[in-house]
Amino acid sequence: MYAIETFALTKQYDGVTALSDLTLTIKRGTIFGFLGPNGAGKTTTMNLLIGLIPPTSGQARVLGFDSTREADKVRERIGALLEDHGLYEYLSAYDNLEFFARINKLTKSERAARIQELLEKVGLWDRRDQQVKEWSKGMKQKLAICRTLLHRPQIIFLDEPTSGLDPASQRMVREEILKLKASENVTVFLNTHNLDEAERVCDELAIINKGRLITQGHPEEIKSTAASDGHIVAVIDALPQDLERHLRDLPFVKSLEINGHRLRLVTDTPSRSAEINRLLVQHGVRVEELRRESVSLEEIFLQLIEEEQEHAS
Amino acid sequence: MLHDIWCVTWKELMLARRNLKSYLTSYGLVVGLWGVFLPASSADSIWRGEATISILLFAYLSVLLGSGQTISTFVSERMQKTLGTLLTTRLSDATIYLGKVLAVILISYAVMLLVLGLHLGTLMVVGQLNGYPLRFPYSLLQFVFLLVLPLISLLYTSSLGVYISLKSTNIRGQHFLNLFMGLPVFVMFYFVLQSLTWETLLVSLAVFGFISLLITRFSIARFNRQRLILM
Ligand SMILES: Nc1ncnc2c1ncn2[C@@H]1O[C@H](COP(=O)(O)OP(=O)(O)O)[C@@H](O)[C@H]1O
Ligand SMILES: [Mg+2]
Repeated sequence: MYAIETFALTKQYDGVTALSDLTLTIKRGTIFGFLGPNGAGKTTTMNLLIGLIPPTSGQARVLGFDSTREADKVRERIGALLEDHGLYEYLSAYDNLEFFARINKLTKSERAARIQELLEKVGLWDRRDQQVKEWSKGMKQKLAICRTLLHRPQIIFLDEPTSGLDPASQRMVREEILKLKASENVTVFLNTHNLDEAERVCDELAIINKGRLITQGHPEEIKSTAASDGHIVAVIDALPQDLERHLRDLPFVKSLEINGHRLRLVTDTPSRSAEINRLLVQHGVRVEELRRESVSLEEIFLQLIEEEQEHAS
Repeated sequence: MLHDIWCVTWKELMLARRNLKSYLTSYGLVVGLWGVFLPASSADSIWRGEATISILLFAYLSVLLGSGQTISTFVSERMQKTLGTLLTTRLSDATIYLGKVLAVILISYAVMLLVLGLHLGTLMVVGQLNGYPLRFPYSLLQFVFLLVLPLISLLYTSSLGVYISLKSTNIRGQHFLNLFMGLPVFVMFYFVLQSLTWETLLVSLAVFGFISLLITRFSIARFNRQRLILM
């Protein structure tokens, strides 16, 4: 059974389509990244999955339960960190967890043990009696993630858990997510607009834009299928007159950028460096450096979104 | 169900405890006014058996306390953006609602009893100083009225308060409306007090209780995840 399945899931708000025809499956045990720019429909999707809002059409199943008709069964088995951390600022860290552990019907001794276990894992046990309002944003996010895990849910939903954090706290929170995911053996549904985060943290990725799913797969897989182009950078000692023309005339060269003695080429496939090297040597230049650039997910992301927009118009 | 309701109430009580200082400052005036100043200044008429005004003021106090507490339990949860997270848990909408109303009633009623105790103490002291015989200042009927009607008025205030808060988005409007919510209670208490007997007390309890439960029902129906999550 899949952790999450959706079939043509669609949500409109007064005629505005926030999510359109989303069909996807998510395997158990993955950190699934739902990646898209602001307004793409990530939060809407999460709200639909947890059964907080009804879909306009289509269906979602979480752990085999229908998100609309069996929303209570879904909510019993998941944990969620929304856009707002949802912690009670005036309560202590401990009492925040105590409250949610009580909600989830842990017994008194289970509560004590579980809260200590989680707070120790994220290094906040010593601060358990402090009011949350005194804490940094990063610490609050870590606490909120612990809160989602209290009742050993099978899936946790995290809505942009690192947005608004400074880079150091972002890294800290990401590391905790990876660590907790491993030790708690939980499926993670992670909304993010941060490519770097998606690439570092997620095993599986779906890219969404304007309510439409663009692609789904392993980050490397997305990179290799979407990025059929090769990117080659060469640094040479001189630039003979006709070199530029010859390079541009090559049938497999899509574009060429020259910056002093530095050439940047985009080729049709990634395996053209030998041919480029041969041509350079034929022109009598000394090649100081020749390497293939790995394409960042960011470029692919932008490229996919551009293609999608062209497609739409 | 009871476990779940109590969970929510427990959290509200913990929050109130953590905010004790701000509670003391905001209720300090009320406690002083209703517990000391009012009984001291109207002691003579109360000892002469003219207790209507004093009882009415208590009725009004319950509305005042109830509406303030409703704002801090319901509206602040929305303002602090903690409600959304609560809605992702296994708790049902009605459970969250009832847990909060129970907290409003418990906290407000506790303050009511505190003020009532102070009020009685002040009356006794002033009575002694002015040479009235040592006895309880209210009749049993009046005292039961003082103890029981505020409980129902707290239910009325909290449910109507939530109902209004789900319609208004700014807190000023909320406070304003809350003040006017007390008016019908005030008028009703006034007429009951004009001819206070055990029968009128029971009838008014039944009618007021019924109305409050009705409003509670409407309010619960409006307190609905799918609506709340988008607010
Ligand atoms: N309650 C709402 N009413 C109307 N439109 C909404 C509402 N919530 C979201 N939207 C719209 O739906 C789209 C997707 O929003 P959202 O799911 O919040 O995106 P994301 O989380 O990816 O930033 C946006 O265009 C947004 O304006
Ligand atoms: Mg969002």
